[in-house]
Amino acid sequence: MATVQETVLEFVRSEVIADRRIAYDTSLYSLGANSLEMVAVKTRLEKHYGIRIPDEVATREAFESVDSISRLLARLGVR
Amino acid sequence: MGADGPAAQPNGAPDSQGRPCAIWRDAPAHVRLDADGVHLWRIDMNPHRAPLASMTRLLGENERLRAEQVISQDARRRFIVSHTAMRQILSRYLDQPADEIRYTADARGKPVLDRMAGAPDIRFNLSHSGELALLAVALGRDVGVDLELIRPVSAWRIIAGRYFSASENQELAELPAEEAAVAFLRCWTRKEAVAKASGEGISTRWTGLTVSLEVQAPPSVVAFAPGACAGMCITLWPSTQGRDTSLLSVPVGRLGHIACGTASDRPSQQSQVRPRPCAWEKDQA
Repeated sequence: MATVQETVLEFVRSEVIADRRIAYDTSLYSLGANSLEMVAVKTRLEKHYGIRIPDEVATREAFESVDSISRLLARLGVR
Repeated sequence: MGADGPAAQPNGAPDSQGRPCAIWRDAPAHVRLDADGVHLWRIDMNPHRAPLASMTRLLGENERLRAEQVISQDARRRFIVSHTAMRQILSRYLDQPADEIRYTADARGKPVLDRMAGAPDIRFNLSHSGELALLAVALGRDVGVDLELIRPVSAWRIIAGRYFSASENQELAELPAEEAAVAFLRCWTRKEAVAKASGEGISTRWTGLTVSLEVQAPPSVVAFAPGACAGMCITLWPSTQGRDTSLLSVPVGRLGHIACGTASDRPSQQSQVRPRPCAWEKDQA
C-alpha cells in the first residue's frame, strides 16, 4: 500500500508536473505550480482520503512540498 | 490615459457592445495612469538572448534567494525575467530606479509596494502561464490578473463542487462536456482574478460569489468578496484567427481575466466609472 508521501507525489506529478526530479522536500512553487494546480492536488487528496482540508490549514506554507502536505494530512488523521 | 503613439482606434474606448478595445502596443516613452485606467503589460519570459546575469542584479535580496532555490532552469529563467520586467515596468510609474523598488508580501501573502513618501498609490498583480506573463497596474484601486493555459484539468468537477457557487455549478452542468471544461477555466480565472485583486486568495468561502460564465459577456461587475464592495472583471480572450483587435487578446490556447476594484476613496459606493484598460508590450530592455 502506498505511503502518504507516495500518494501526494503521485497527485503532484499528475496535476502539476511529471518531473522526475521532484524530491519530497522540493518547493512546488519553485517548479512553477500555480493555484489551480495546487487546488487540484488538494481536492484529489480530499477525495482519495475521504476528508476535508479546511481553508485555515490549507495555507501556502502547508502546500510548499510533498513533505509539508504529508505532515498536514497526518495532523488531519491520515496515515 | 496615455493614448500617445500611433493608433487607428483609441486605446481603452469601449466598442458598441461595451467591450473594452485594447490592442497590444508598444508603450509610449511616458506612460501615464489615472484613476480611471488599468494598464496591462505583456511580458515574454523567453526573450532572445536574455541577459540573466545583469537582470539578476536588478532584483531584491529576497528575489535573488528565491531564484537560487529554483531547481528547474526554465522556471528560474522565467522568475528572473518576469520579476526584472515587473521592476522595470513599475519604475516607469513610480519614477524610481528599477533596482530600488521594494515590495513585500502583506499579511495574506500578496506582494505590495513599499510606498515612498509622496509616491502615487500604484498597485499591481502578476500572473503567468507558459512563457507569457501579464502584469496589471492600477492607481488607487486593487487589481488582480489570472492567466491559464486551456488544458484538461481532470479534477475540474471536484474543484467546481468545492469552490464554485450553486448557480455556477448549475450552469456548468447544463453545458456539453467539452464546453463545460473550458467554461470551468473561464469561471476559475474570473474568480481567481477577483481573489487576487482582493488579496484573499481563493478559498471555499468563495462559493458565495457567482461570476458570469457567458462567453460574450461584456465586463461584468462582481463583488470582491462575499458582501464586500463591487468591482469589475474584464475578460482576456484567446486570439482568434481573425485577430479580433477589439478585445484584449492572449495567445491561442490561453484565457484569463483582470479584476479591478473600485477606487479606494469611495469604498462603499459602487463606482460608476468603469476602468478602461490599456495593453502594452514590454519591450526587451
